[in-house]
Amino acid sequence: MLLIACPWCGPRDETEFVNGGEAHIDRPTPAESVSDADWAAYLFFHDNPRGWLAERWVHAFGCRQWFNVERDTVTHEIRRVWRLGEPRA
Amino acid sequence: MGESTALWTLAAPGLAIAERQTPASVLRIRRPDAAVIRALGEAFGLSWPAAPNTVAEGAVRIAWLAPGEWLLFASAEPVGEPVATACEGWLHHLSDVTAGYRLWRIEGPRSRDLLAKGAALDTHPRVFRSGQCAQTLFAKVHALVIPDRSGDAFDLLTDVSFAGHVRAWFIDAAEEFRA
Ligand SMILES: [Zn+2]
Repeated sequence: MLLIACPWCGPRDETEFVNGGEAHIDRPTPAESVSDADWAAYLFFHDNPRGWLAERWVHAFGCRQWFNVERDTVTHEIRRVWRLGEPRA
Repeated sequence: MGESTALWTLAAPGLAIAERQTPASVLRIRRPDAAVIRALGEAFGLSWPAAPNTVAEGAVRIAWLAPGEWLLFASAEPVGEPVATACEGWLHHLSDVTAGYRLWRIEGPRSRDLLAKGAALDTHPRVFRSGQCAQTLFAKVHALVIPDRSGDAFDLLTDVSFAGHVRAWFIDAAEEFRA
Protein backbone atom coordinates (compact mmCIF):
# COMPACT_ATOMS: atom_id res chain seq x y z
CA MET A 1 0.00 0.00 0.00
CA LEU A 2 1.38 3.38 -1.02
CA LEU A 3 1.04 6.40 1.22
CA ILE A 4 0.61 9.33 -1.16
CA ALA A 5 0.89 12.94 0.03
CA CYS A 6 -1.89 14.83 -1.76
CA PRO A 7 -0.74 18.47 -2.12
CA TRP A 8 -4.06 19.55 -0.56
CA CYS A 9 -4.98 16.78 1.89
CA GLY A 10 -1.63 15.39 3.03
CA PRO A 11 -0.71 11.70 3.34
CA ARG A 12 -3.53 9.31 2.43
CA ASP A 13 -3.83 5.67 1.50
CA GLU A 14 -3.37 4.62 -2.13
CA THR A 15 -6.99 3.35 -2.21
CA GLU A 16 -8.20 6.98 -2.29
CA PHE A 17 -6.25 7.67 -5.50
CA VAL A 18 -6.30 6.69 -9.15
CA ASN A 19 -3.18 6.61 -11.32
CA GLY A 20 -3.34 8.64 -14.52
CA GLY A 21 -0.21 7.50 -16.29
CA GLU A 22 2.96 9.34 -17.19
CA ALA A 23 3.14 13.07 -16.39
CA HIS A 24 4.35 16.01 -18.47
CA ILE A 25 3.23 14.68 -21.84
CA ASP A 26 2.46 17.52 -24.21
CA ARG A 27 -0.51 17.17 -26.50
CA PRO A 28 0.69 17.87 -30.06
CA THR A 29 -0.76 20.97 -31.71
CA PRO A 30 -2.31 22.25 -33.85
CA ALA A 31 -4.68 19.27 -33.84
CA GLU A 32 -5.71 19.58 -37.52
CA SER A 33 -2.17 19.25 -38.85
CA VAL A 34 -0.70 16.66 -36.48
CA SER A 35 0.41 13.53 -38.32
CA ASP A 36 -0.95 10.07 -37.50
CA ALA A 37 2.51 9.06 -36.33
CA ASP A 38 2.68 11.99 -33.89
CA TRP A 39 -0.81 11.22 -32.55
CA ALA A 40 0.13 7.57 -32.09
CA ALA A 41 3.30 8.57 -30.25
CA TYR A 42 1.30 10.91 -28.02
CA LEU A 43 -1.42 8.36 -27.25
CA PHE A 44 0.41 5.05 -27.08
CA PHE A 45 4.16 5.44 -26.66
CA HIS A 46 5.21 6.39 -23.14
CA ASP A 47 8.28 5.83 -21.02
CA ASN A 48 8.25 2.64 -18.99
CA PRO A 49 11.41 2.92 -16.94
CA ARG A 50 12.70 0.59 -14.28
CA GLY A 51 13.22 3.28 -11.64
CA TRP A 52 12.05 6.87 -11.28
CA LEU A 53 8.94 7.89 -13.20
CA ALA A 54 6.94 11.12 -13.08
CA GLU A 55 3.26 10.23 -13.17
CA ARG A 56 -0.12 11.85 -12.63
CA TRP A 57 -2.46 10.79 -9.85
CA VAL A 58 -5.93 12.03 -8.90
CA HIS A 59 -7.23 12.09 -5.33
CA ALA A 60 -10.45 10.48 -6.53
CA PHE A 61 -12.05 9.83 -3.12
CA GLY A 62 -10.72 13.00 -1.50
CA CYS A 63 -10.41 16.48 -3.01
CA ARG A 64 -10.60 15.14 -6.62
CA GLN A 65 -7.53 17.16 -7.69
CA TRP A 66 -4.91 15.98 -10.17
CA PHE A 67 -1.23 16.31 -9.31
CA ASN A 68 2.18 14.84 -10.14
CA VAL A 69 4.14 12.20 -8.26
CA GLU A 70 7.69 10.98 -8.79
CA ARG A 71 7.70 7.28 -7.92
CA ASP A 72 10.29 4.52 -8.20
CA THR A 73 8.59 1.75 -10.19
CA VAL A 74 10.75 -0.89 -8.48
CA THR A 75 10.71 0.13 -4.80
CA HIS A 76 7.51 2.26 -4.93
CA GLU A 77 9.36 4.98 -3.05
CA ILE A 78 7.83 8.42 -3.65
CA ARG A 79 10.34 11.25 -3.47
CA ARG A 80 8.39 14.23 -4.75
CA VAL A 81 4.83 15.47 -5.21
CA TRP A 82 3.94 18.64 -7.10
CA ARG A 83 0.86 20.37 -8.48
CA LEU A 84 -0.12 20.53 -12.14
CA GLY A 85 1.44 23.55 -13.77
CA GLU A 86 4.46 23.46 -11.46
CA PRO A 87 7.81 22.65 -13.08
CA ARG A 88 9.04 19.09 -13.06
CA ALA A 89 12.36 19.76 -11.30
CA MET B 1 -27.80 22.82 13.22
CA GLY B 2 -31.34 21.72 14.03
CA GLU B 3 -31.63 17.98 14.45
CA SER B 4 -34.21 16.27 12.32
CA THR B 5 -35.84 12.99 13.32
CA ALA B 6 -33.56 10.01 12.95
CA LEU B 7 -34.46 7.71 10.03
CA TRP B 8 -32.57 4.82 11.60
CA THR B 9 -30.58 4.26 14.76
CA LEU B 10 -28.22 1.68 16.19
CA ALA B 11 -26.98 1.36 19.78
CA ALA B 12 -24.20 -0.84 21.12
CA PRO B 13 -22.02 -0.51 24.25
CA GLY B 14 -20.05 2.73 23.85
CA LEU B 15 -21.67 3.48 20.53
CA ALA B 16 -24.74 5.27 19.16
CA ILE B 17 -25.42 5.80 15.47
CA ALA B 18 -28.23 7.87 13.97
CA GLU B 19 -29.03 8.32 10.29
CA ARG B 20 -30.64 11.61 9.28
CA GLN B 21 -31.63 13.64 6.28
CA THR B 22 -29.58 16.83 6.09
CA PRO B 23 -29.97 19.97 4.00
CA ALA B 24 -26.91 20.38 1.79
CA SER B 25 -25.69 22.62 -1.03
CA VAL B 26 -22.46 22.72 -2.99
CA LEU B 27 -20.85 26.08 -3.80
CA ARG B 28 -18.18 26.28 -6.49
CA ILE B 29 -16.19 29.41 -7.30
CA ARG B 30 -13.61 29.60 -10.06
CA ARG B 31 -10.23 30.70 -8.66
CA PRO B 32 -11.50 32.51 -5.55
CA ASP B 33 -9.23 35.19 -4.09
CA ALA B 34 -8.91 36.58 -0.56
CA ALA B 35 -11.54 39.27 -1.19
CA VAL B 36 -14.35 36.86 -2.10
CA ILE B 37 -13.38 34.56 0.79
CA ARG B 38 -13.63 37.55 3.14
CA ALA B 39 -16.99 38.60 1.66
CA LEU B 40 -18.37 35.07 2.17
CA GLY B 41 -17.12 35.04 5.76
CA GLU B 42 -18.85 38.35 6.44
CA ALA B 43 -22.06 37.21 4.76
CA PHE B 44 -22.20 34.08 6.94
CA GLY B 45 -20.74 35.58 10.12
CA LEU B 46 -17.79 33.20 10.36
CA SER B 47 -14.24 32.70 9.17
CA TRP B 48 -14.81 31.07 5.77
CA PRO B 49 -12.95 27.69 5.63
CA ALA B 50 -10.48 28.51 2.84
CA ALA B 51 -7.81 26.08 4.09
CA PRO B 52 -8.05 22.50 2.79
CA ASN B 53 -10.02 20.09 4.95
CA THR B 54 -11.38 22.64 7.41
CA VAL B 55 -14.88 23.34 8.70
CA ALA B 56 -16.48 26.56 9.94
CA GLU B 57 -19.53 26.68 12.19
CA GLY B 58 -21.90 29.63 12.25
CA ALA B 59 -25.60 29.72 11.60
CA VAL B 60 -24.63 27.33 8.78
CA ARG B 61 -21.90 24.70 8.95
CA ILE B 62 -19.53 24.88 5.97
CA ALA B 63 -16.95 22.29 4.96
CA TRP B 64 -14.08 22.61 2.45
CA LEU B 65 -14.35 19.97 -0.29
CA ALA B 66 -11.80 21.02 -2.92
CA PRO B 67 -10.05 24.20 -4.11
CA GLY B 68 -12.93 26.62 -4.76
CA GLU B 69 -15.57 24.13 -3.59
CA TRP B 70 -17.51 23.93 -0.33
CA LEU B 71 -20.42 22.02 1.16
CA LEU B 72 -22.96 24.17 2.97
CA PHE B 73 -25.22 22.35 5.42
CA ALA B 74 -28.25 24.29 4.23
CA SER B 75 -30.61 24.00 1.32
CA ALA B 76 -29.82 26.39 -1.52
CA GLU B 77 -32.82 28.64 -0.98
CA PRO B 78 -31.88 30.34 2.33
CA VAL B 79 -28.20 30.75 1.38
CA GLY B 80 -28.75 31.74 -2.26
CA GLU B 81 -28.93 35.46 -1.61
CA PRO B 82 -25.92 35.89 0.72
CA VAL B 83 -23.86 33.68 -1.63
CA ALA B 84 -24.88 35.67 -4.71
CA THR B 85 -24.10 38.97 -2.97
CA ALA B 86 -20.69 37.84 -1.69
CA CYS B 87 -19.76 36.25 -5.04
CA GLU B 88 -20.88 39.19 -7.17
CA GLY B 89 -18.65 39.40 -10.24
CA TRP B 90 -17.25 35.89 -9.69
CA LEU B 91 -17.98 32.87 -11.83
CA HIS B 92 -19.71 30.62 -9.31
CA HIS B 93 -22.63 28.27 -8.84
CA LEU B 94 -24.67 26.93 -5.97
CA SER B 95 -26.50 23.59 -6.23
CA ASP B 96 -28.93 22.07 -3.77
CA VAL B 97 -27.80 18.49 -3.17
CA THR B 98 -30.06 17.74 -0.19
CA ALA B 99 -31.67 14.76 -1.90
CA GLY B 100 -28.29 13.20 -2.64
CA TYR B 101 -26.84 12.64 0.84
CA ARG B 102 -27.39 11.01 4.22
CA LEU B 103 -25.84 12.19 7.46
CA TRP B 104 -24.65 9.63 10.01
CA ARG B 105 -23.99 10.75 13.55
CA ILE B 106 -21.59 8.37 15.32
CA GLU B 107 -21.21 8.97 19.06
CA GLY B 108 -19.58 7.35 22.03
CA PRO B 109 -16.17 6.22 23.29
CA ARG B 110 -16.05 3.46 20.62
CA SER B 111 -16.86 5.81 17.71
CA ARG B 112 -13.19 6.16 16.73
CA ASP B 113 -12.75 2.36 16.82
CA LEU B 114 -15.77 1.96 14.58
CA LEU B 115 -14.44 4.53 12.09
CA ALA B 116 -11.08 2.74 12.04
CA LYS B 117 -12.81 -0.44 10.89
CA GLY B 118 -14.18 1.29 7.81
CA ALA B 119 -11.58 3.88 6.83
CA ALA B 120 -7.79 4.09 6.63
CA LEU B 121 -7.99 7.79 7.52
CA ASP B 122 -5.91 8.77 10.55
CA THR B 123 -8.56 9.92 13.05
CA HIS B 124 -6.22 10.30 16.04
CA PRO B 125 -7.16 13.56 17.84
CA ARG B 126 -3.57 14.73 17.40
CA VAL B 127 -4.13 15.05 13.63
CA PHE B 128 -7.92 15.02 13.23
CA ARG B 129 -10.05 17.13 15.54
CA SER B 130 -12.84 19.67 15.68
CA GLY B 131 -12.51 22.31 12.94
CA GLN B 132 -11.19 19.79 10.44
CA CYS B 133 -12.89 17.54 7.91
CA ALA B 134 -11.76 14.89 5.45
CA GLN B 135 -13.14 13.06 2.47
CA THR B 136 -12.12 9.44 2.33
CA LEU B 137 -13.29 5.93 1.57
CA PHE B 138 -15.48 4.59 4.36
CA ALA B 139 -16.93 1.09 4.06
CA LYS B 140 -15.73 1.33 0.44
CA VAL B 141 -17.88 4.39 -0.33
CA HIS B 142 -16.93 8.05 -0.61
CA ALA B 143 -17.58 9.87 2.67
CA LEU B 144 -17.08 13.29 4.22
CA VAL B 145 -16.00 12.90 7.86
CA ILE B 146 -16.33 15.73 10.37
CA PRO B 147 -15.11 15.29 13.97
CA ASP B 148 -17.18 16.86 16.72
CA ARG B 149 -15.96 19.19 19.47
CA SER B 150 -16.62 16.53 22.10
CA GLY B 151 -13.77 14.41 20.73
CA ASP B 152 -15.71 11.15 20.56
CA ALA B 153 -18.38 11.94 18.01
CA PHE B 154 -18.25 12.17 14.22
CA ASP B 155 -20.57 13.21 11.44
CA LEU B 156 -20.37 11.20 8.25
CA LEU B 157 -21.91 12.22 4.96
CA THR B 158 -22.42 9.57 2.27
CA ASP B 159 -24.39 9.28 -0.95
CA VAL B 160 -28.03 8.45 -0.28
CA SER B 161 -27.88 5.57 -2.76
CA PHE B 162 -25.45 3.77 -0.42
CA ALA B 163 -27.61 4.24 2.70
CA GLY B 164 -28.73 0.61 2.77
CA HIS B 165 -25.18 -0.61 2.38
CA VAL B 166 -23.85 1.74 5.09
CA ARG B 167 -26.63 0.66 7.50
CA ALA B 168 -25.79 -3.01 6.92
CA TRP B 169 -22.09 -2.25 7.36
CA PHE B 170 -22.75 -0.53 10.72
CA ILE B 171 -24.86 -3.45 11.97
CA ASP B 172 -22.10 -5.89 11.13
CA ALA B 173 -19.25 -3.67 12.38
CA ALA B 174 -20.95 -2.96 15.73
CA GLU B 175 -21.28 -6.67 16.54
CA GLU B 176 -17.81 -6.92 18.08
CA PHE B 177 -18.59 -4.14 20.56
CA ARG B 178 -21.45 -6.22 22.01
CA ALA B 179 -19.19 -9.07 23.06
ZN1 LIG C 1 -6.60 15.61 -1.79
